[in-house]
Amino acid sequence: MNGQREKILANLAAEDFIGRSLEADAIRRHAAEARRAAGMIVAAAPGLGVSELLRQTYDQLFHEQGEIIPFYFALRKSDRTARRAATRFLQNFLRQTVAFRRQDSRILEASCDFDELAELALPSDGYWIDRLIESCRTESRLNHDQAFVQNCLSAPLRALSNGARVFVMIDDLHEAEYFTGAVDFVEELNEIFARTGTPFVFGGRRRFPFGRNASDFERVRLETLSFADAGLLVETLAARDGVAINEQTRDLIAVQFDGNPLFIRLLIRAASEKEAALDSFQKVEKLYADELFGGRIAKFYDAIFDRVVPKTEVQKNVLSLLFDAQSVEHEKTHIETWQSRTGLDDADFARTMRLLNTGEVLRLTSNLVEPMGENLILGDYTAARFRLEIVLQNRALTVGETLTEFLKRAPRLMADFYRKNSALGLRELLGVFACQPVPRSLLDYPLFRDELKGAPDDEVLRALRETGDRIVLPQVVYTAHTVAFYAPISQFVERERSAVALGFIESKYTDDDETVWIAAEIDSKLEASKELTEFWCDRLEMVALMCNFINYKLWLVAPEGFAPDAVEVLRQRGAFGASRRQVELLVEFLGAKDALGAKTKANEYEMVVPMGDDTELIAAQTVEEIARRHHFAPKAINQIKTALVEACINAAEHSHSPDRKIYQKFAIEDDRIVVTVSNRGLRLADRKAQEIAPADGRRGWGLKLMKTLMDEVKFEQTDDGTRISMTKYLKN
Amino acid sequence: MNKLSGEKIERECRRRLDSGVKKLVVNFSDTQIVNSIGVSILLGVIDAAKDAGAEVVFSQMQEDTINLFEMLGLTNHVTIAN
Repeated sequence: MNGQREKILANLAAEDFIGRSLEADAIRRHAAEARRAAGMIVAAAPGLGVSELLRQTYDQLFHEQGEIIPFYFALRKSDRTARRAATRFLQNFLRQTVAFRRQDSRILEASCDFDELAELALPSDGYWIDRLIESCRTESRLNHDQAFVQNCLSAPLRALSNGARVFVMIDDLHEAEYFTGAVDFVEELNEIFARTGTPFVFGGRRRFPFGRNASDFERVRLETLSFADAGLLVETLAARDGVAINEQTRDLIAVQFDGNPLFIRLLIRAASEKEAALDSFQKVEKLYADELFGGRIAKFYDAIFDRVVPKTEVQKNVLSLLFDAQSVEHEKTHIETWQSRTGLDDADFARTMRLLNTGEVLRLTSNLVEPMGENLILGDYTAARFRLEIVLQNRALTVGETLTEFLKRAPRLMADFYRKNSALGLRELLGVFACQPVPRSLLDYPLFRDELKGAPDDEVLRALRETGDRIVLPQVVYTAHTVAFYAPISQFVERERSAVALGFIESKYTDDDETVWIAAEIDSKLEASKELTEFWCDRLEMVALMCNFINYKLWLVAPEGFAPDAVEVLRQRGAFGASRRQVELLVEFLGAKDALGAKTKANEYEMVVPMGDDTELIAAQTVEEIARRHHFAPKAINQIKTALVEACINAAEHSHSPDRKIYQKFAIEDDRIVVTVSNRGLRLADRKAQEIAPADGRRGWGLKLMKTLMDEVKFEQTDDGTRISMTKYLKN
Repeated sequence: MNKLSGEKIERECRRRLDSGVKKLVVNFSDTQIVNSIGVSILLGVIDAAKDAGAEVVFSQMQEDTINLFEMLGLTNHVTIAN
């Protein structure tokens, strides 16, 4: 989403709403369609921004003033009954319709009663709005809850039958789990909206069932933000709130909060309020510990616990159970154990567990209860409360020890992330095996070494396309990381670097046709030795043995392939061995780049030169070398050099730079080079007219040159200077 | 060619024009890259030559420099020579 528009229901400026453009597009497409199956569910784990996504959609539709009237309604804790929620639904619907038609968002803030809204309605809507109000008044007097609720919830349909197209977004539907009374709000909504042709969205927690028609609805699932988007969010919020961060802490926050925008926002806000910098791991963990022991993060989880388990004793029991479960990895507990330890009666227990599951405090599957092991923040919160409230440990000691623990954990978290990031993604790759014939040389290292190793890329690809020596990959039906099959393997290999795939050799789906591939990435600077290869074959065969795999195939991937005697070991074991390059080519050959996700590109160069003394020529020589290495044509290279020189001159001139340095970055992507030149000092916008175009008339060509020589040029004001980004595409 | 080398050339050209020279040849054989300040200075030289009724010749230019000058319209006012 982009553009500087006034916020109406949204909490964030559109440009600060990061990482949800695909989902936003899907909702807007849905809004524009009128189909039979008109329902859409937008669901996510807590804190991932469903509400903000719907509110942003509302704002956008409101500002567009198109044919569709947007209507956003969120259930509230204070609604308590379907009747009260329905009353608010009707009030909000009328208010939003009138505000939209009058193009006046201030009406949304005003506390108008029905009569005032009817007065404000445009004449074209007046008739049906009057009738709607009247019928609700009648139903209200009848005191028949269900009829009243139905009448209120049908308001958008009445608008529709009078020619007004409404896009209905009903948010926080999981709040209905707390409603009391005989009328089932969610079922009434299902009943009313599933019959209509008007598009609508139900929003809420992903584990909430959304009613009986939910399986017919299109589903948009919001996941945690990608690492890149989470980092961008940290940067954006920190810049807006004036919180100092650096690249290391930005990445730590993105990783530690697992791309959860709510927690990231809470941390940055806390830093801003306390005027605390977040420019070292220690400062980040200190503030995080503060947040966990009484800050906003604690309050977020306190609110869930207090609401679902209001009785103190029961809450303590739940915390103890959670702590016990998370202390032993992947521990699952029988639900009966939970019931006996919480001491709740059947009805209360069922309700409590359902709400804890929807709130993602635990995972409830059939008769087993599992901790949310992947939620680090919840784990930290539970541990903190357990130590303070159940073990009754001294607060200062608890906070101090926890902080020390967090500090020790931070580099480990990053190390795990780096390993995961650099892993080839064997599991995902195995997942796209689907009986395709692939060149044998992609799986057989000696064949690759003898025929293709060291050849130029285009020659390798041509040979691969033309070869008739192929093997057919199995039809893979299920994949998982090897640790999920055999936990002790984690002593030897990181989770992401080994995977198991279950499948069939020829898709005959018979016992004889069954096969299992067990794959692992191993480390070796040179070609893997015989001993290393034997070690790994033994480990993976152990997995096969422990899991009763009968017909299995081992596949080892070593960065530089395998030494001749190691190849012999592979042959004896009937295993495949491949180099990293072969796997990269296999990914390309299978068209599986998307399945494996975009890897962070390392093709980025940075350079800092002092201003003056023709140092821009040094920069120009550097960019020439880089561009040549990435196959830019000589003419393009010269254009890039000239533009870079101009950007450097621009940075040096009139900036009054305090450090007299020019910061340059050259980023290479598949089809382009992006040159970024920045400097501290006076921003372009702050310079006086004569500083931009000096009176001697000898300047003014620079900007024109940059724009002419490069394909895209962007000027940005940073907090303390100017940044020029210039892109040149690698054209054929 | 940048500010420093450009100004040196400019001074030299003006000196020659003042002494009545009717043809100025600027040799670019040692010039790898011309920046915008250099372009501005060369424009100044071209103007001064025009006022003095003299011809300006640019010689031994690299192809990239010719392209740059063409793009900026300098080549309309000078003769290009090998």
